[in-house]
Amino acid sequence: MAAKLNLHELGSRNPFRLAGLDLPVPLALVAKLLAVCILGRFLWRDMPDPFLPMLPLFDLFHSTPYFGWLLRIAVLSGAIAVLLNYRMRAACLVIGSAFLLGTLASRVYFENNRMFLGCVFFLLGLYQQRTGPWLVRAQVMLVFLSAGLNKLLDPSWRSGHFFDYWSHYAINKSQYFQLASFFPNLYLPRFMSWMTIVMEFSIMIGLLFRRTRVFAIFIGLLLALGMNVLTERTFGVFFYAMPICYLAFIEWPRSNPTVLYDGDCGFCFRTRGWMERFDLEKLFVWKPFQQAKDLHGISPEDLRKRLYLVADEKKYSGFGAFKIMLLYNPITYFAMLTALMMPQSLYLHHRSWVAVLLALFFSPLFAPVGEAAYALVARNRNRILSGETCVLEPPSHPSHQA
Amino acid sequence: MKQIAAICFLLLQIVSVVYARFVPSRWLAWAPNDYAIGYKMQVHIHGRPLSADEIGKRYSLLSEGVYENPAQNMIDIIRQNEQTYGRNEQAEVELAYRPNGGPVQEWRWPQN
Repeated sequence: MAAKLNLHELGSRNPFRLAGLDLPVPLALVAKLLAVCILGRFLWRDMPDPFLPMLPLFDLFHSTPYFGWLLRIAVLSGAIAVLLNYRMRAACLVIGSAFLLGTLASRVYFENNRMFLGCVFFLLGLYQQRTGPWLVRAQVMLVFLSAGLNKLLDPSWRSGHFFDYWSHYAINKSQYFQLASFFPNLYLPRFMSWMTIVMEFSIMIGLLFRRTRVFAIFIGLLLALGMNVLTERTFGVFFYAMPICYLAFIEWPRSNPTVLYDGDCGFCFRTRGWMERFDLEKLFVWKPFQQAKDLHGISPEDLRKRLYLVADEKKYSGFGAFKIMLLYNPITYFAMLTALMMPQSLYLHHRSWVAVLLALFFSPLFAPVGEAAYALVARNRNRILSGETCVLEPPSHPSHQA
Repeated sequence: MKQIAAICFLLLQIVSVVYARFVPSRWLAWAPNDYAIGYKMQVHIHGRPLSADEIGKRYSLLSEGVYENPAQNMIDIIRQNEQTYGRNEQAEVELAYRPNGGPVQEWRWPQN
């Protein structure tokens, strides 16, 4: 049986820590990654002074610089507080309110991606155990429903005229235009338009149901990736923020997943040590199968061949198990976000390449390659670190308790 | 209380999305990058044409380019400016725009 989750070090200021905060793990991760976006893209600096506001009330502050500075300080301090685990919900409420006030205070500041950030942070700040992640989930679905509906009801989207016109200044891949030239006029733009509409509705509907959620997230990532590859644009922070918010649809393990490995293998022991070093939450309980009381119905022969991970009664093995360990480790998301947010040089546009490689690595398409690589290493594991075998923990050694 | 506030907040957005179906602008209505409006604007104040920089300062918009919100959003910005901050300058604005690859349209301030 998997051990119960423990909530440790409540007062920790480690930005990578997520357990024991006033938001559940997936929402805390959403808040922190969005905070990284705010700091990494200097969004706090862009907070506006009132200028042509949506509500005339804000014109009272038109000639004072204090309003804009107040918003900048609120967003900056809020983002730092979120990262340092200080009054997380209150900090989210402050950030969200600042973005929404900025949007209302200036029509020229209005951008959907900024408003989206404001709405998500605002709803994170209003989190209650009773509502769970559904507020953020509803926000994401509302955006896709509205965006899909707006496109569907627009004749220029349905006819492909919008996409055709937009592509000539937004798409910088000549292959797209070469492909378009093979087809009759407007055929490809119309196909792209309808594909976008269908994808947006599919994401919205798919996210509603537990069974289709992973599929919907996959389509959402594909949509973001496709747009980025075609245009090399991030659409403000939409390219980062929307995929981050899909984490609100992920169910984190209710109990600590158990990793069963071959204790008679020095390489496996080294791997355990390496993986545990990056498992700051101590989420995974590593056990040599030779000493485990419960093998979860897996035969010792299978355990000798492959590493197994058991999470909430689901079993993963080999490369799949490592992939799950990465996906349940917050550091993975911080690392991926950092790689994607790195400034691009003039000649090397790495962002879309990084995004494609990451998507490919975690997609089922890469699984056969990953499994083959895993099998190769597993077969030769005793040769890789020869002389470091038989590192079984003595029976008196207390098992890892999380 | 928080739950009610959150639900009201989401409902408000739904109202805004529905309202947007009946007006040409898309403020707070979740239509991200759904438009491509190629445009060029000319502004005269007391007969003197404003430079691109001056137009940028006046409206926080480029004097020409592609705007990724409905043209009505841009018109709202110009009109609000001319009705408030620039009220006494009697600016004359000519905005030629091409929404989503369609035919070129024109909008002028002051409106007849």
